[in-house]
Order: sequence, then structure tokens, then C-alpha cells
Amino acid sequence: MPVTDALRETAAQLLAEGTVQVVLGWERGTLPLRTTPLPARTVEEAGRLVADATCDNNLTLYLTRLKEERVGLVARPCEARALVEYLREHRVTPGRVLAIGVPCTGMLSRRALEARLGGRLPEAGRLDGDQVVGTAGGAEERIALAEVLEPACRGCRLPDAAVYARVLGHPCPPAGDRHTLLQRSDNLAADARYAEFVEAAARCLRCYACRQACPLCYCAECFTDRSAPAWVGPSDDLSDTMLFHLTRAMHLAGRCVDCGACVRACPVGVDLSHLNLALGREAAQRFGYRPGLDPADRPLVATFRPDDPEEFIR
Amino acid sequence: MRRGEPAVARLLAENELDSILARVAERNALWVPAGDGEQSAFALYRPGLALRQEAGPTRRTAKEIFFPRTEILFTYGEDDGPPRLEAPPAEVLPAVVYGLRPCDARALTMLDPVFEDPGYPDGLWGGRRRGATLVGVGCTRPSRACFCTSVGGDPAGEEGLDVLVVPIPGHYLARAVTDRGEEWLQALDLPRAGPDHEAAAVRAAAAGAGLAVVDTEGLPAKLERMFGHAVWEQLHERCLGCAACTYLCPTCHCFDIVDEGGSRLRNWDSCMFPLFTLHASGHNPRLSGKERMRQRIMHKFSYYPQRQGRPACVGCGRCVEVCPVNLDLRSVLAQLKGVEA
Repeated sequence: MPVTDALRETAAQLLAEGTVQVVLGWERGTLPLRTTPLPARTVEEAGRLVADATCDNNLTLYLTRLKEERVGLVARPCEARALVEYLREHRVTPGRVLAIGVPCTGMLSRRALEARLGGRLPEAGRLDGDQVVGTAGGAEERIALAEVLEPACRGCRLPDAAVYARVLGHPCPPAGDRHTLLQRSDNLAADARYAEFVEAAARCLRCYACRQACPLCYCAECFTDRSAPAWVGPSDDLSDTMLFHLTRAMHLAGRCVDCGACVRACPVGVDLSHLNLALGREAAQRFGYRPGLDPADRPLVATFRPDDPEEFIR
Repeated sequence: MRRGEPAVARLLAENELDSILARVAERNALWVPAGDGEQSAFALYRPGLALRQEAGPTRRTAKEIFFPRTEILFTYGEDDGPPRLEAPPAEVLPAVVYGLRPCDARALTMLDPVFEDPGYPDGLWGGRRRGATLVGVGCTRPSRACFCTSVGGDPAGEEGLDVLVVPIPGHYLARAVTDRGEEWLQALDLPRAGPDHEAAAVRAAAAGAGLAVVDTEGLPAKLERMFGHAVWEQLHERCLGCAACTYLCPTCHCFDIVDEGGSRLRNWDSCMFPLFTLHASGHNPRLSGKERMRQRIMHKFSYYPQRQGRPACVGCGRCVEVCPVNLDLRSVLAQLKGVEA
């Protein structure tokens, strides 16, 4: 059975029997090859759910906004990793969330697709197996999904299977190595790396779409939203924008599940995911810590071992 | 231009555009659309800069030229002498904006009554606007996100422009809309074109290109009765509360004023942020995303139309394209129009 059919059936059943009061998923959006989050509360609404490569929001962030006591979460590895962090950080109580695991083929990168279609929104589009069919200027073009995949999907990691209450089909295996992005920035000279950061900061409008789309950026009040004292100024001053991005990266160290939602949300194409990857590497190499995989792990910054490395403390 | 005297269309060869723009840039601050995809924006012209044309409107809007994200209102200080207060340096060259779209030009005419209110004219906005010549390029390929014709616009509309340019194969047909535009075109000494049948055909094709239809008839008055309506609870549910829609909107114009290091700055702000309405007492009248999203819709489709007679939206579709969760303004309006109130 195709995954969308299985999902609709499962969601409808869970809602009908009262196991959950809402199933958090996606439905078709208003633009070609786009979806939008759907909190399905009725069997009819469950019939609109979809799960495919065009689902590009991380749904886990909505969990704490929902008022319902029992929530079904349609979970690809991205949602599941974020859920693992939520459980570990006591953001949700165990038992409130019933994760419905859906297989994932990797997400379609709208950015990559539009670049292939002359830099424009496709006029029409659909998925056809492992291919994307997009129309631009009246001409239909077929592109292998693998060629227009979200960069984050290339390093997908699967969480412990225990996080799923139901599994519809088999989750995809990790598609490749995510750390090529990091190799690139590692190999850049410090001043070239800094120049890239300056360019990104100059382009950033501080609309905070990255922060808002991130499941792990969930502070009730962000430091940028304080005016007394104002930790960070609201102007286009470069140092303020850099401070925002660096602080966000630090707050996500060892917590970022590398779903790439921040990059997809940015309206002006800022991609600073290498900051998160670099800090994730530190967490892994020094402390053996990999976020989003095992709900039984303690959070990185809530853990102390006498033999923790400390040579970087000066 | 005198009434009844149709402007003469002039012909601009595609391969001469760069040299013509180079001439314009000698005496003006010339802004042109540049960059790819989501990184596209208006930039100051320099020779050889690749213009963004076929690919459609820039992601960032032309409002930034007149209402930058951050600007200095004045600087102050004491240093060693008496206290000083200084206006920001005046812009020396008049601005020419080439290649903005009809929707972007129309948006500027919606911002004029806000910044040029006779009681509180904004000198910085007014100074830039009065000196500027706007040369628009008609849209030949509206996108799936566009809906300008639903809010009174037109892919080849002239409102707010001094010159309208319509691309035809190999050429551009330029026609003055205002006296300023006529002078500007005459100074370029371009050959006259015959009857602009071709441009008319291009315009007609764009207008009929299946633009999305949004019905806003009667919405301002209806929204006035809907402040406490239950539908807002549902409408805002997916909204993340970022400012992608406001910062990329050509008519959003809210700002905040702060002092930083001896400068008084005006910065863009967004009604989608909690800090926007936070009082000094700690009270926040717009506590949740529901109140904030309602404000944004109300401002554009109720408060502004009641004062100015038309919605503060030009249907450019940028908010539709950039919304990270595809919360489509057109669907929101359809829902508001459809519910009982």
C-alpha cells in the first residue's frame, strides 16, 4: 500500500477509536510541489494527509502548541530525532505523543529545483516515483529526486526504533555523508570563512524564520526579544546579526538534529548549517554525544563525567 | 503629459540596454534588479552587472530603496564642545529605479499616504521619492503565487511609474507615463517605435496568464465585524510567527526607533513579533500569534482600505512564496470571506 494511503487509514483509525485527538501531519499546499502542516482532528481531515518528498516542515515544533492531550505525530527520521530531544529535555511527557513512523525518500529541495527551472517557481509539478516533474515556461522537465535533494537529507540518521509507536513501511537508510559540507568549510582559510559569514550576515533580514521553523529553538522568550536589557540591537549592524546566529548555534550545540528546516525556511537563502554541524561534531568527538537518536541518553549539557575532556578550557 | 496626447513609444534594443544604463548611471543613483532566486534584490548599477529580467520579480522589494531596513534619522553627541545634533548626509544623486515591476511601483503609491501624511510628512521618504524616476518593466510571465489583478493591479499597470517598458522579442518598447518619464526618455534619444501592437499583445497575454483570483469584495467592512471571530484561532494555527511575509512585503512599513552609539535609528519591525507591542509595564496587548496574525490581515484588508479606499496589498505573491509553511494569504482571505460573520 502506498504510504499516503496507509497513513490516512492509520490516522483515521487512531482518531475514530479515540487513541489520539489530533494527528499532526501535512496536506497538499497551494503551490506546485508544496505541502502545508495539517493538524487533522476528524476522520475527514485525516483523508487529506500526505507524506512524500514535498513535506519540508519539521512538524515536531507544533507539539507544544497543540492543546490536545494525546497527539499523533507523523514522523520521518527528522521529526523522530526532534521528538527524541523533546523527550530527553522533558519538553513533552512520554505517552502524550504517538509517533507514526513513515518512510522517507529524502526531501525535495525547492531551492535546487527552482535553480534547475530557470530560477522560477514551477508552474506545475508532481512526483513520479523517484523523479520530479516540473514545468517551467510551458516545458516539462524530469529530474531525478536524488539530484535535487535537500542537503541535510544526505546525512540522514535513524533514531532508535523505540521512539515509534507505529511504523508504516521501512524508514530509508542514510543516503550519504553530510560532512562534505563541513569538509568544505574546514578547508577554507579562516579569513575566507569569515568573509562568507560576513556575506551571509549582511544578507540576513533578521526575520527569524530560521528560529521559528526550528523544533529545538523553543525558548519561551528568545534573547533577541528582550528590550531591557537589549542583548542584541535590532538594526542591520553586522555584529548584531552575527551575534544572533552565533548564539543560536551555541544554544543548539549537541541539540541540533540536522533536519535543515532553518535553511528551508530562510526567505533570502542564508545557510549557516555548517555552524551547527561543526558544533555537533564537537559534541560527538569530545563527549560521544549524538542528538536525536536515543531517548534514554541524558542531554549533553546536563551531563558531567569526571573524565570529560577539558583541554579547551583556558 | 498633456491630456489626449498619447505618449510615443520608443524602441530599445536588448543588446544596447547595458550601455544605456551606463549612461543613466553617470548622473543618477541607478538601481537595477540583480541576483538569482531568493538572493535577488535591487542593487546599484555597475557596468556588466547581470540584470535579473526574465526570471521575474526580485525576492527583495523596491521599497528598500526608499525605506531601508535601517536608516539614521540623526546623530548626536557632546564630544568636547557643545552638544551637537546632525541630520544624516543628504543623498547627492537623484535615484532612477529601472526594472521594478508594476506591483512594486503600485506598492510605493500605497506607502506615500503613510509617510507623506500632511500632518507628519516624513522628510527622508519624501526626499527620496520626489527625486526618483521609476522605470518599470511589465510582467510577461506572472507566477503561480501572483494575484495582482485581484487587488486592482495589472501585470502591465502604469500606476506609480514614470516609464513602462514592455519586453518584446529582441527589444523593449518604452512608453512614458508621466512628464518626468517623457523627459527621461527624450534625453536618451531613442528611436521611435511604430504602433506598439507587439507590446499590447505581450500585455494581453500576461494579463490572461491564469492569474489566481481572490475575491476581496466587501471584505473591509466584514472584517470590521470579525475582530472576535473564532476563525482566527484556526487561521493562525500553522503560522510560525516569523517575519518572512512582512519583511518581503512591498507594502509592510512598520518600524521601530532606537538609539545606538549616538545615532537615532529607524529599523524595520514586524507586527508578527511579540516585542512589537510589548509595553514598558510588561503588558502585551497582542499576547499570542492569533492576535498578531489578525492584526496583519486587518491592517491590510480593513484598516488601510477604510482610510485609503483600497487594500494595502498589491498581489505580488512574495508572502505566498516565502511563507515557510505555505500559509497562503489567498486561502486566508477566501476563508475570511467565506465564514459567517
